[in-house]
Amino acid sequence: MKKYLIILLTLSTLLIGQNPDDFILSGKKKIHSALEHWNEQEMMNARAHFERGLHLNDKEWLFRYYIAYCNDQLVHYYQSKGDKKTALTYLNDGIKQLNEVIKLNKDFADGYGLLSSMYGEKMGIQPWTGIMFGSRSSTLIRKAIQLEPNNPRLYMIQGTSAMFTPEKWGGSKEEAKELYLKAAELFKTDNPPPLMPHYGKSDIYAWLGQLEVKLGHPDEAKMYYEKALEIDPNNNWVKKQLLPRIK
Amino acid sequence: MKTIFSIFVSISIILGQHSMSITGKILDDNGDGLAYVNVYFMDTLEGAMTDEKGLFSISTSTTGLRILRISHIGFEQKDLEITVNSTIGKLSIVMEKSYMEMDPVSVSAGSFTMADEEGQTLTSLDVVTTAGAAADIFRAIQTFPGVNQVDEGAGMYVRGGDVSETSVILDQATISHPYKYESDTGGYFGMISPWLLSGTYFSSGGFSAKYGNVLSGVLAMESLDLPARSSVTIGAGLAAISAGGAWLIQPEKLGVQFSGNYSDTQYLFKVNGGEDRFEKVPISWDGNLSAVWKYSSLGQVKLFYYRNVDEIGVRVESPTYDGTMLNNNHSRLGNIQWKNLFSHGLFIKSSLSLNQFGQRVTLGNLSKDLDDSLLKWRTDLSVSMGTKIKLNAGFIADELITVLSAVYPEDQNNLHPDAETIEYKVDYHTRHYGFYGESEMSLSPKLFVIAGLRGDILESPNQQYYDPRISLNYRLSDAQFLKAATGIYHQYPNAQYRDEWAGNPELKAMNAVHYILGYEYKSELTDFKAEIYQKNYSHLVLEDQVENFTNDGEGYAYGADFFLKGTLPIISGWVSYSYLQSKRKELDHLALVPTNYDINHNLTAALKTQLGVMNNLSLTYRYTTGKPYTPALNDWNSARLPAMQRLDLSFSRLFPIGQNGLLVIYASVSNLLDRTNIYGYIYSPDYSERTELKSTHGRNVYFGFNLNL
Repeated sequence: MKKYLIILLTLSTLLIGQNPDDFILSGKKKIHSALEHWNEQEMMNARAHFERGLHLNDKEWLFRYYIAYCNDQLVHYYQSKGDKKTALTYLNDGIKQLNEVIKLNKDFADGYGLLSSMYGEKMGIQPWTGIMFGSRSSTLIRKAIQLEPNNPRLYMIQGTSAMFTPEKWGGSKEEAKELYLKAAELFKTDNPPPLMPHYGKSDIYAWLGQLEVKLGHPDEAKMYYEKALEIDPNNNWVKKQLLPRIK
Repeated sequence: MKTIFSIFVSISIILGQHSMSITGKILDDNGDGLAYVNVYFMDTLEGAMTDEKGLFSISTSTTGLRILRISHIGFEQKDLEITVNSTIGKLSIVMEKSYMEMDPVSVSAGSFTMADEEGQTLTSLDVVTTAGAAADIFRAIQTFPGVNQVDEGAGMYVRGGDVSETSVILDQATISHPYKYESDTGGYFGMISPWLLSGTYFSSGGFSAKYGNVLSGVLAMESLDLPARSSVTIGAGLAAISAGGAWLIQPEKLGVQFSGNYSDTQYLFKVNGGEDRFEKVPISWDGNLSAVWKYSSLGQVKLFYYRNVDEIGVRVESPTYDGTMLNNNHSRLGNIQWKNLFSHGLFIKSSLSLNQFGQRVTLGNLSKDLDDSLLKWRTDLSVSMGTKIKLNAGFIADELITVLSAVYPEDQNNLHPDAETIEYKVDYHTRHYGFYGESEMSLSPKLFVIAGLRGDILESPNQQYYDPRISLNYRLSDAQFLKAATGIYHQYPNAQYRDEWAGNPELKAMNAVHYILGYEYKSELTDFKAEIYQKNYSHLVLEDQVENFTNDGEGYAYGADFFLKGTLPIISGWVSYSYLQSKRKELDHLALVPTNYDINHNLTAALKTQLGVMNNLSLTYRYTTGKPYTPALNDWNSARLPAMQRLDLSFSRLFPIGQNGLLVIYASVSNLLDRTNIYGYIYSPDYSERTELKSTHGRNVYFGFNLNL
C-alpha cells in the first residue's frame, strides 16, 4: 500500500512537473543566477518562470512578489541603459503586481517594502509624481516595519529613500546612514524561511558604499564595497559597477 | 492488485513516452519576432520563453487537448487550445498590443479625465496650482479648450452652449445649481472644492449615453474614498478660513471626512480696493461631511452631505436706477451611494440623492424668490464580457419641484422701483425617467468603439426621446489616435418655461446633434489634441406673444479646439486655443444671431515652473474675443465688446512637516496687468444711454496658507 502511495505521489509530481515550493525555489535560483553575472534574458526567464506559477492559487501573492522583484531588477537595468520607457513599463507592472500582493496577503511585510521602493523609483524617473506617491511610499514602508520590525530589507529601503529624497523634502544622508547601519546589523541574524525573500545581505554594504561616495568619503566607500564582496564574492553590481567607479 | 497493475501500466506508458517538443514563433503585429515572451501550458508548469528572434521550444510529455498561454507585458494575453500529438507542426502566433494600456483619457472624443494618477490631463494638484483658478475646478477647466469664458465668473460655457447646458454630477447625484454666488452667467466659483474629490471627468461633447437631459457638456466628479490615515487640515487666507479632518476609524473599513469653510471678503477688498462696489461684500460658508464604509473588499457605502450659504450685495449703476443687487443663496446636497463588485465582473453602483437650492434676489423693481429641489435615484451597471467587450446599462428616476415667485421689470432695461413690472409665479412639478444601454468594444487592437442608446421619459407633459450615440477611437500608432463621435442630445427647458401659467406646458425638449472629429498625439511628456466639431440645435425655446414660449428656436455652433500639454525640464503646463462660431434664434432673439456667449477666439496658456523642489510659480494668460451685445432695439448682438485679456500669477511653497505633514503657503496676484475688462453694458429703455459693467477687480493680491498634519 505504501508503495502504491509513493507511486501516486511520483505520478502527480510528474504531471505537475514540480511541487509549488520546489518551483519557487528553482525560480529563486534563476533570479540569483541572473544577478550573479547580470543577464537580461535570464532575468526575463526567471520572471516568466514565476508567471507560469501564478495559477497555483494558494501562493499567488508570492509568485506576484517575485515577478515584481524581477521587474525591479529589469527597471534598474533599463534605466542604466537610458531606456526610460521600458523601465517605466516594468515599473508600472511591478507596482500593479505588488498592489495585488498586499491585497492577497495583508501581513507580507516584504511586499509593502518593495512596493514602497518601487514608488520611490517612479518618483525618481518622474519627479512630478512625488507629491502623489511620496506619502504613499512612506506610509507603506512604515506599515511594513510595523509588521516586521526586525526585517533588515525594510530599513535598507527606508535608508535608500532617505538618501535619494532631497533634504528639503525631509531626506537626510545622516538618517540614511543610521538606517543602513541598523539594516546591516539586522542582516547578521536575518534568516528568513527558504521561500521568502532573503536578498540584501551583501547589497546593504553596496548602499553604504554609495552613501559614503555621496558624502565624499571614497575610502570608506571602498571598505564597504570590499565588505560586500566578502559576503558575496559574486555580487556583480559591486564588482562590475560600483567598485570600478572609485578606482 | 489489478488496480495497482493498471497504474503501473499507465505509468510505464507515460514514462515510456518520448517527450515531445512544441516549437513555434511569436510575432508582433508588424510580423517581427517578439523576444522574451512567456509561453506555457496551463495545466502543468511546462513552458519556455522566446529568444531574441521570437522562437520558442517547449518539451512536454502530456498529449491531448491543452491550453497554451502566451503572455508578455504590453500585449494582450492569449490562451490557445491546442491538441498536442506527434503530428503537431510549428506554431506561429501573432500577439496584439494590449488595448488595456490605452489611457481612459483617449477613449472618447471631446473628453478629459482627471484623477490623481499619472498620465491624466488635470489633477487636483493642477487645479490648485493653476494661477487665476483660485483653487476652483470650474475655473481650472475654463483653461481647457472648448470652454469659453464670458466674464470673470466660473460659468462653464461649452462649445457655444449656454451655461445651463452643462450637467454637473457628483457620485451619480446631479447638482442642479453647482455655483457659489449664482448668477445668470453661472456663478463666481464652483460649489465643490478640489480637495473633496478623487477624480473628475469632463466632456465638451460627444459624450456617451450615460448622460442625459443635457445638450453641451458634462462634468462628473467622484468624491474622496476612504482616507489613508487620520489627519487634520487648517487653512487661512485673506478672505477665508477653513478647517477639516479625516478620521480613519477602522483601517481599510471605515472612515469619516469633514471640512468647513468660512469666507468673508471684506479684508480682501480693504487690501485691494473696490470695497465701494459692494453694499455687502461677498460672504459665504460651507460645510461637508462624508463617511465611507467598506463592508467587504468588493463593496462600499458612501454618505455625502454638503451645505452652502452665500450672500452678496453689489452696487449697480444703470441709466434708470442706481441701487444694490442683493443676492442670497443656499443649497444642500445629500447623497447615499452604494457600490459593489459581484462575481462574474458585474459592477453595480446606485445612489439616492436630494439637492435643494434656494435663491433670493432683489434689485430695483426686480425680485426673485426661487426654490428648487431635485430628488434622484440612479443605478449604473457594468459587466465585462471577456476582455474585449464591456456592457454598461443604467436607469434614472428623478422628481423636480420648482417654486418661483418673481417680479420682473416689464422693460428689462428699466429697473427703476416705480417702473412697470410683471408678476411671475411658477409652481412646477414633474417626474423624469431615463435609461441607457451601451457597449464598449475593442473591435481590434486598434479600433475601440462605444455605441449606446438612451431613452428619456418626462411624465408631465408626457414626452419620450431616444438618443443613439456612438464614438470611435482608432489607434494610428503607439502615440497617435483618431477619434470621432456623433449622437443626439436632448435637454428639457428650464421649469419656468414649462410652467402652465407663465410658460408653455407643451414645450418639447431642446435638441442638439453633435459631430466631432479629433486627432490626438500622446506620449509620456506631451499631449496634443485637435478637434473640429459641428452642433446643430433645434426646438430651442423662443418667446412668443400668444403662447409665451414655443419650440421654434434653432441654431448651430461649429469650431475647432486645440490643446497642448507638455513637460519641459523647467516648465510644464498647457496651452489651449478655441475657435467658435455660435448662432441661435432663441428666447427674445427672434432671428438667427450670434449668441451672448459667441466667443470667437479663446486663447489660454497655463504655465508652471518649479523653482527648486519646493517652490512652484505659475502663470495663466488669457485672451478672449469680446462677447456680442445689443446696441439698439431689436438689433440683437450686432456689436462686440472689446477683447478681454488677463494675466494671473501665483506662487506657492511647500514645507514638509514630519513624516506626513505638509504646510503650503501661497500668494497670488490676479489681473497683474491691471486691465479693466468690460463684460457688458446696461442700456436705458430707448438705448440712448448706457453704463459699463466692468471687472470687479483691478490688480489684486491674495495670500494664505494650508496646513495638513
